Amino acid sequence: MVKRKILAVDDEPSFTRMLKRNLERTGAYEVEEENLGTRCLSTARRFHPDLILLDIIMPDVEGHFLLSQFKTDQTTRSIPIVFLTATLTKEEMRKNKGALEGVPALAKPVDMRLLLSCIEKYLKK
Amino acid sequence: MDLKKFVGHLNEERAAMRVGKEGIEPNGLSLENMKGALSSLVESIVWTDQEGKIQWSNDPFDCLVEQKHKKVLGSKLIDLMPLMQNGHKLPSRLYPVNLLLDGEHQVRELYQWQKPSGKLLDLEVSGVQMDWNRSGKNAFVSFHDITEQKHTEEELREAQLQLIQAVKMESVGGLAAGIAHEVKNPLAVLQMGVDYLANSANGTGEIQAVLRDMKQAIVRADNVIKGLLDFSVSRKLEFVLSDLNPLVNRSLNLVKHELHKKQMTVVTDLAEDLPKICVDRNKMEQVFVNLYMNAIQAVLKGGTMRVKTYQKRLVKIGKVVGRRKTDIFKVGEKVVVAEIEDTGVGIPEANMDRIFDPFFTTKPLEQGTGLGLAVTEKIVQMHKASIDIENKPEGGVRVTLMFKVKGENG
Ligand SMILES: Nc1ncnc2c1ncn2[C@@H]1O[C@H](COP(=O)(O)OP(=O)(O)OP(=O)(O)O)[C@@H](O)[C@H]1O
Ligand SMILES: [Mg+2]
Repeated sequence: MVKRKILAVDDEPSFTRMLKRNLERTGAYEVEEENLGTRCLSTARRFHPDLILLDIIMPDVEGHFLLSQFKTDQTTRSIPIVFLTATLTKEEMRKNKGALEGVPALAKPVDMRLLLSCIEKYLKK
Repeated sequence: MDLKKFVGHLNEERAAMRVGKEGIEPNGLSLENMKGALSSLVESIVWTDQEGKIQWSNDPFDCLVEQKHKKVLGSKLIDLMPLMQNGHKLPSRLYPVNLLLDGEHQVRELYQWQKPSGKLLDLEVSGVQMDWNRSGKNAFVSFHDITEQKHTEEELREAQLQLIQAVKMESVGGLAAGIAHEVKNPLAVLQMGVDYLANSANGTGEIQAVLRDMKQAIVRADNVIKGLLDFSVSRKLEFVLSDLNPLVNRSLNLVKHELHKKQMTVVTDLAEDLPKICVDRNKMEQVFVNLYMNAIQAVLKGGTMRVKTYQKRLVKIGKVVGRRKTDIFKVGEKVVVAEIEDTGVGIPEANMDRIFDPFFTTKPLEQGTGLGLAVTEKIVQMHKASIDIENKPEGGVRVTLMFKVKGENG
């Protein structure tokens, strides 16, 4: 089985590391970590992920700006993106039907089962 | 007026006093002169005989007790003016006149007294005992009405408290978003780590139990942060003119799974043609969801929740209804009311004072953070609405929300 490629973008290395461990253990994914917002577009161009997990708030670059970068770049614009956010409450997420500006979003801390089902749902076909 | 000085003066004169028909007549100061002078003071003044019966009163006193002078004379002061202290009737032996006649030389104390017309007054009562009369002791008493002064003081204190509260809230609000970000990220790492370990099948049952506890602790911390975020005032309220009933129904829809899980019956009784109210819909939905959740968590399987809306005109003075500037609602004002009742366990009286406190909860750790009602009260206050929670005599709890109607008293 071909492993699906996931790019995890978050300024906390410990978080992306945990994501990598958890996802790769399932045997179904290959995970690339990126902790610098300014570098993630070039990483995405090189890595060609099937899905990007993107933290909205990072110290160096705004997540929404990254989103617009991904969505306008030739090589990355068809890659599905899932937001991970620490500032929204679950209640707000429920009201927004689990999406922010049309992008599916998960609230941190996120449960592994929920994360897996979300990834499977939006993974590039 | 300084009664002590006055009486001191009288006592100095006493040496030269001779007893006339009226009882006393100090040198150079005729009783009639003195009565005239006392009558034109604003203070209410009486003196009584040794049985506490009024021998003389000035005009201000007659006005205070709302009685004709003739009726006042000879009446017992305690009957005309039964005093209260801290909301309790003052026992006869502690009544100022009786204290004086029992040998106390002077008294000065705050009391309340309800006028025949119903108004409650705060009075400063001072009195001295005199035996200038051969027929026994006299009590000489003055009343100073400090009702207005006390109200002003209270309003000032209330305003100050509100200010302090507002400042406190604002700092909580400003902090909340920052805290959320700083705490949720490490929590997310912990959660992922625990998930990782839990899926490493080689753990014993004991290790799995430890991991379950850790996971629960993470959920708990997350709930607290979530609550703090809700508490945040940094997000401004957006008021729109709305109908209450659709809001009630939308919030019911949000908890329908919970209702279903508890197999609960929901009875709604929503009045038609309610006037519109001015609310932030999202925040007010949150209020209803919080209250519904409390009701759901309080009932046993198969319980009932009743939701009722109606309008009414306020006629009685109550906790939030009155005539003062600081009262949220005025007597005569029209309001829209929502009531949420459950058939749950009710609230022990001992807890009633604390249910609105942040972090007060009686629920198991993973279920309650104790922020629900604190957030609710805050949102309600920002709407200039009111919330009241009480136990029903037949068991269960009734929550009453009262909303201002636009155009009614601002
Ligand atoms: N309808 C009710 N019936 C019985 N007790 C209630 C009811 N509503 C509130 N309480 C009591 O008041 C306490 C505080 O309520 P509050 O909603 O603030 O916090 P909580 O429900 O415990 O936690 P949270 O709402 O944050 O999940 C509750 O723990 C409970 O003891
Ligand atoms: Mg609650």
